[in-house]
Amino acid sequence: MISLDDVRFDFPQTTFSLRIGSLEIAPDEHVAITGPSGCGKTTLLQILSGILKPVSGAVRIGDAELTSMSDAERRRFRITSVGQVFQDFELLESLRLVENILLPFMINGALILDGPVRARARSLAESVGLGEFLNRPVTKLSQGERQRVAICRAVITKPSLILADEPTGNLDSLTKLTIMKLLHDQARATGASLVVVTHDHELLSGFDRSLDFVEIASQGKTRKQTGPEDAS
Amino acid sequence: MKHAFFLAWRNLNAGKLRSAILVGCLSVAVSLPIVMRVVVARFRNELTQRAQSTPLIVGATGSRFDLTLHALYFEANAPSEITMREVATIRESGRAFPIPIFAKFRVERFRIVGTTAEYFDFRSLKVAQGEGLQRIGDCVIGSGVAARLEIEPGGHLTSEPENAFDITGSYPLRMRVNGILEKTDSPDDSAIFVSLETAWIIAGRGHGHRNSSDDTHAPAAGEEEGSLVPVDPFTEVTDENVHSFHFHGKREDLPLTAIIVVAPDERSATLLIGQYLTRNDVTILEPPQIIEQLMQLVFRVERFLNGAAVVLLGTTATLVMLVFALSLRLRQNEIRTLFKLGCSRFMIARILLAELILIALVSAVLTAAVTATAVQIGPEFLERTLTGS
Repeated sequence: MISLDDVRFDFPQTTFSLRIGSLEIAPDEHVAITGPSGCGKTTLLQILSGILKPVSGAVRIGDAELTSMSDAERRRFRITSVGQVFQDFELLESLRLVENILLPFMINGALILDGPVRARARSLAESVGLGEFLNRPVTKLSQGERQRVAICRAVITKPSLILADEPTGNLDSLTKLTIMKLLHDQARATGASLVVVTHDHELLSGFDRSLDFVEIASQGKTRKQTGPEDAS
Repeated sequence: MKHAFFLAWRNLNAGKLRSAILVGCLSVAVSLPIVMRVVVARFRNELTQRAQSTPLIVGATGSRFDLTLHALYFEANAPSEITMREVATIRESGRAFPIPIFAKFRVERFRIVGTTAEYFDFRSLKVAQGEGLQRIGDCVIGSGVAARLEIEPGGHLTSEPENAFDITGSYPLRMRVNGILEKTDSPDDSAIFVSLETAWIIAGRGHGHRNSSDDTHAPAAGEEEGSLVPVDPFTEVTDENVHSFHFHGKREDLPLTAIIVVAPDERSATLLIGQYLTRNDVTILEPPQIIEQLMQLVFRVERFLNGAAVVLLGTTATLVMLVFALSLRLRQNEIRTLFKLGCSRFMIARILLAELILIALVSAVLTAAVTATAVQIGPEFLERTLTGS
């Protein structure tokens, strides 16, 4: 179970703050979050991933209480329990395809990069149709292929929560559907909760639930405007 | 740290040009002062050894450095000539033994050194292949000449005219290679030794006569009966014509470019030096002193270059840091991604540190290679630069 309870986040060096009264997401649940640009959807994802720490309230993911964790503990939690997919893929262009999938294992000592992990990376790449390009530089991949690599990177650690921030924003219509199906499939395969921020209402049909972010955030009665930089 | 190095390597590999420039700049900046120091030390050692084994030289008054380098290395601009009369003067003084040198001509870049058999004894030169000089027109060559020109005893070398446009000047002489000297790691390895008489023939001071019938040939179409044409583009001493070669004028008037003077003791040397103090046209020099003066000049240049190298190193290090800082700015998105995925700042610092270490390591290897190569070719390059050959 993922739950946020009376969370308040103050944007640094501004007078803006974001308040979320209550939000619960069940294990295995696939939730889409919609809302206008700048309302704080990305901030919510960053709070869920532990990148941002609220000034008050509680954020629980399973047994973990993120708000009581140190920075190092949240980093450790993030890399072991949360898979993230970004709008711009955010692959490391200096690495090859399979190396990008394995990246989480290279940057945090909490994860051990061994033979089974490498085999799983290959298997994941094959499952998304990229088995032939394991050693290809990601700069030589199409946009759709890159996002598939990003999804593989997000699920390689078998996270309990997958967060995707407008993962289809830069893709054409056909590829959007393919990528979204892939996300659902991979999340179901690992039994993870899936939270996707999207503007695209055509993609909502595959989700268990769709939430309007304005409604979630407005539950906090003292909510001010969200910050201009991190919010989207 | 293994993964940090891997990621660092991948990043450096992705920016090959940038990495190569960084490594190249660092290597040059570090190797330059090292190479200078080693090369100058070796060069000094070689020069000093050669100079110390050549206590006195006599030559025409002029540049002391040119005369010394010429007598020791057969290089530099050939100084003004003196005559064989000086050899007689030294010999008659009874204070020293003269070894005349006449070195004005070349085969490619190798100097033809006319001298006497005493020079070979003086330098302890031994024939490794073939024989020594037998008659005029013969030459024995240093091991470096043999290797470079790929020539064996029995082969031939042709001297080059002093000036290709001077039709009245020296006429090329085709010399018979009689022997190859043992390698000595000295300038003698790059010399072509001939007798003084052979050198004078190249200089046009002696000549032979040919049978006129040798110079005629059957007239070609359009040619008049009995017309003469030059048969060979060079002079050659053969067993048939060797006795026809002769020199006009007195032997004492024939030219030399230097005389190595071997005095039996310090007193004799001092007296001989005193004898030449009153001469304006001819001078006597002590090569160890001249070389020491030359080395002071080299050291001044070395000190300047070392100072410049330190500035270069500082500038390069600053540039490397600047390039690194700029590349960090360019990689902000990548670093932010790593952080968002769960990478600690410490790990990011380790990746960046690994990049610096890799650049430093590759630079060190390249520096070692550049230094080793430069140390091999540096002394010869410096010697050729100083002697103008």
